Amino acid sequence: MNPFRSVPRSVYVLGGVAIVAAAATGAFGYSTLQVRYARDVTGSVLKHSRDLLSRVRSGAGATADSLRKAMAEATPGPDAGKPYIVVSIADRRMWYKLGDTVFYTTRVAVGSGKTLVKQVGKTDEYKFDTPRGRLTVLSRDVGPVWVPPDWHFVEIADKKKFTVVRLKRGQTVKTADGGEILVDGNDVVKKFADGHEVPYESGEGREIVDGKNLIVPPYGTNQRKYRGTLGGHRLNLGDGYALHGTDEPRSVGAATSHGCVRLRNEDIDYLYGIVPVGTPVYIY
Amino acid sequence: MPRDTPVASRPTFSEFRRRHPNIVLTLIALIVACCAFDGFLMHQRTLYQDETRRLRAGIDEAQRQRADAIHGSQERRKQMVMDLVKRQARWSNDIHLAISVDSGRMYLERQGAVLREIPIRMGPDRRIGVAPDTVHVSIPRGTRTVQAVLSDSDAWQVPAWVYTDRGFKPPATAQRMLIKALGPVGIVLDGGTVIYSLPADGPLGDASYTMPGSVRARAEDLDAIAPNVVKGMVVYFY
Repeated sequence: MNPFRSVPRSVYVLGGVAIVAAAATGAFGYSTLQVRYARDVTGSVLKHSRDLLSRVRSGAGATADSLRKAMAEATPGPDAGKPYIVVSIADRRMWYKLGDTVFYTTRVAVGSGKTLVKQVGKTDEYKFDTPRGRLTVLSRDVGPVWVPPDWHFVEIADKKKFTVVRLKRGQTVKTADGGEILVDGNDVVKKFADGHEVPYESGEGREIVDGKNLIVPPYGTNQRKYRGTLGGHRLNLGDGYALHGTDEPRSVGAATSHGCVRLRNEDIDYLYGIVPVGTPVYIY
Repeated sequence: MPRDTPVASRPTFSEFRRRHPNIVLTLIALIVACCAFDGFLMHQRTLYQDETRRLRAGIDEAQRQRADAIHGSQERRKQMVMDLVKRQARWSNDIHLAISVDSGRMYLERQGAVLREIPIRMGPDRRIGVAPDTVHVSIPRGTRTVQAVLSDSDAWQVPAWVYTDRGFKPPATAQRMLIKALGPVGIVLDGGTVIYSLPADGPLGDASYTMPGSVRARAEDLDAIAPNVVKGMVVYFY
């Protein structure tokens, strides 16, 4: 008997259905695995995106932290919150201010910028500039006395064609009339032939002249102290520079000083009342 | 005469089932199992697809947040950098210039003290020329350094793009080297930025024009600060 005839057709159909079902299940299972794979890949991408987001946030935070740190290090200096003086050489004006508030402003005289040879035949020069930079009010004076530097006498000698003679203590300078110029105590005196001594006057315009010699009194003598030249008050800045008054008020507003900042007497008097020692002075 | 051998007929399904119950059961079980597994796969597929949609939405959201975070942090960083520059400018111990771009002011400062406040005109950001020869000039931010201070006897080479921007044909290189091109006083910074005053003539000698990316101030103000400006001085832009 044909073995294929021993199986009913319905069993063949059943077998075919089983085979198709199995194949379909296999194909469907493969497709489902692909969908699962896509899910897994999408999950990885999401994780990666979240990692990036986290890194961006932490990076931004770190950047912000480092900027905050830099800002904390950019701290105000010791003069923060203190009033200060500004002097403009170009404008010939000064301001006393705090932040944007100006307490006082007025015109000033500044250095002439001129030069003066220190000694005939040499190249060293004095330069009469108001120094730029940051200075400080180191001390304050009432009724300041001006002790003229050597350049004052060199300047006069240069103008009037005198010879500068620097008088030392213990030294005498013979005069044309038989007398002597010498230092006696704190005064430079003229000793006449009969032995009596007369101290010289002191002050601007009353320098000691003998013939063609301009006598430079030594430091410490009264003849090297000029009263009134600097007005009623002075704010000292160090190195011989200061803000001070003047006996030449018409010079204020011009470049006429020898480096100091010169104010009208009423202005320096007012500033003396409000500017303390330690005040920064910025000159530009 | 032999009788004909009867032809065997196919058994019926029931007969086959009685004779071979395992085969039938196996086939039926296979079919049922495949159907059941298909149902399971359908369920899982649905779950996977839903999860994928959710994950994709999450990716879009994460990317959006990342873009927002980047943009936001850039904006915050930019503002913080400007604040830092302003603060460093204010408390610098060295004399310097500080330029507030938005308020049109330049300050000569030192240690928190404002020595001079100067009104300025700021040249704009601009793209000049036609691609591919386009020049992009932008307003500086941050710090620059002084390279040179020019007086009225110094020459400066006017960039060709300035002529283009003004609608002129740029002359040859040698002809762009002009005395007083930046006015009586000019300050040249690194990066090409200049601080200048209005010249009497030349391509910048027009009161209505300010060189893009640069700073124009009054000659008397620049003259007043020039003796304090030296090569290497820091100029803060914020």
